[in-house]
Amino acid sequence: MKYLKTAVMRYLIFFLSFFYSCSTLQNPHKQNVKAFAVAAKGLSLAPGELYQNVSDYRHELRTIESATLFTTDKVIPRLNAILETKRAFEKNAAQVKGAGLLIVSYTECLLALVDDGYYKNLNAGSKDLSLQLTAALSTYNKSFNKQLPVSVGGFLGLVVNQIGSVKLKQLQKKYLKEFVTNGSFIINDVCDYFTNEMALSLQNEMSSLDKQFENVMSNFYDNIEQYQRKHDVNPFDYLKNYNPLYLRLKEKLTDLHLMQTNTIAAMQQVKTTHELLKTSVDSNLSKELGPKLNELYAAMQDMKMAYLKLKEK
Amino acid sequence: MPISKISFCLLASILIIACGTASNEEKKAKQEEVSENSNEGEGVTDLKKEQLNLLISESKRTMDSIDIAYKYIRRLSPMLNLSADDRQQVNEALMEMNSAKELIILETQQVVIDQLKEKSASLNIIMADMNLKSEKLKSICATLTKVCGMIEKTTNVLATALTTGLIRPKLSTALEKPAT
Repeated sequence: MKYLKTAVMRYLIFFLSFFYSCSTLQNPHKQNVKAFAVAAKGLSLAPGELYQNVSDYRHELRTIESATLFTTDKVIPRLNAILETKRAFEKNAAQVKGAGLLIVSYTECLLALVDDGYYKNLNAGSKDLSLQLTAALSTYNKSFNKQLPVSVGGFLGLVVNQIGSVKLKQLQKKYLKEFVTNGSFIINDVCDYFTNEMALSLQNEMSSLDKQFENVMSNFYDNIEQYQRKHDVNPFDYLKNYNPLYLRLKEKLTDLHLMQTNTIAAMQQVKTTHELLKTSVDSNLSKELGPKLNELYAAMQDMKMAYLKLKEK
Repeated sequence: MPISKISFCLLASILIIACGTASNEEKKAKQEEVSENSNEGEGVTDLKKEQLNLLISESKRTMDSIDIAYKYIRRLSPMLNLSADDRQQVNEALMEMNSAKELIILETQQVVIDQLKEKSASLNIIMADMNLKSEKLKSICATLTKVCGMIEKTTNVLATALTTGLIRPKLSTALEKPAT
């Protein structure tokens, strides 16, 4: 009879372990989801940052351009006007940021779904329970000089813990699968929009910005030259200040182009990695996902560095 | 020389008016785009895509024309030996041309962003559903913790009763009984 009980216990433990490993979220899955969420969160804000940086750059050009006016009745209205234009561009940048924030919220939802906090309390409770049962059985055995198996307490605790945890983890997996599958359509749609329509519009905008930079700076230098000729002053006195300004803006423009390319590529990566994540949650395959996640993480780090570099200028 | 100044100013004015007309055309195109945005469905999405592409290519064409005009005026103006006031006027005209370009960009951006907002808003629906499920997980966890607590209390009572000898379970006699 005693042998039979031990055997039943062993089968139960085996069954629970098997059930647990087959139908619940495994640690690598959780790590993958977390890694994706962290990297995608960082990258989703990149388009908004790009728009903001381009807007700041435009404002700098407008300010330089305004220096070619000199009468008060022209300068003041012009300065007021460029402030309004700045606000209009910033409003658009904020809206792009807002769209990015929605992807951030999506990744936060992903993180919440794989959170261990759901069954942390349950685990703590069942550990206490197991200890108390074991202690009670030991006391009983001592008091009445009986030999009840002390492991029964631990076993009961384990059963409560496992059933509770398995139930929660099963639900976590089910919901995560649902979430990633439904989210996939939207993420694909949004990322495709970033990489196609928005990329085209940005390309158009950046090419126009190149020409605007060239026009504004050339006209600015024309004006300096005219002034210098009329007043016969040493050009060095002016150019020592304006040449570094030109170089800084030229370099910044190159960085903005690089950032534009990286942002579009990053959105493409978010889409591809999310697709792999979906496949991985569906079929427990994650061989390709690991390297892709590393690439996504590296892209996020590159983007962060690029923005820091741009802010320094 | 004064005649060429006048003709130059005239040319600049014509170009600025042309820019204004072009940006009005962009506005009209945008309005048409926005009115179409109210419709839904796959066909409409394709149509929107097509219209957006058209808007982008049209704005590019218009901005390129403005750039050509800008360059022309800029190259020509130093040759005219203008006075400071005249030069300021030319500068102002050039700024207007850049402003027209920026207006086109702003409006194109707005159309692009409106479509992006439409797309990303669908994510809100999915997230609302997941928030509900997340709440469900929390509630299941709370119920399980409650059950655990109840078992824990019962165990405490049992342990106390066993320790003090208030109860003697028949489990021991069942274990001692030989199997038949």
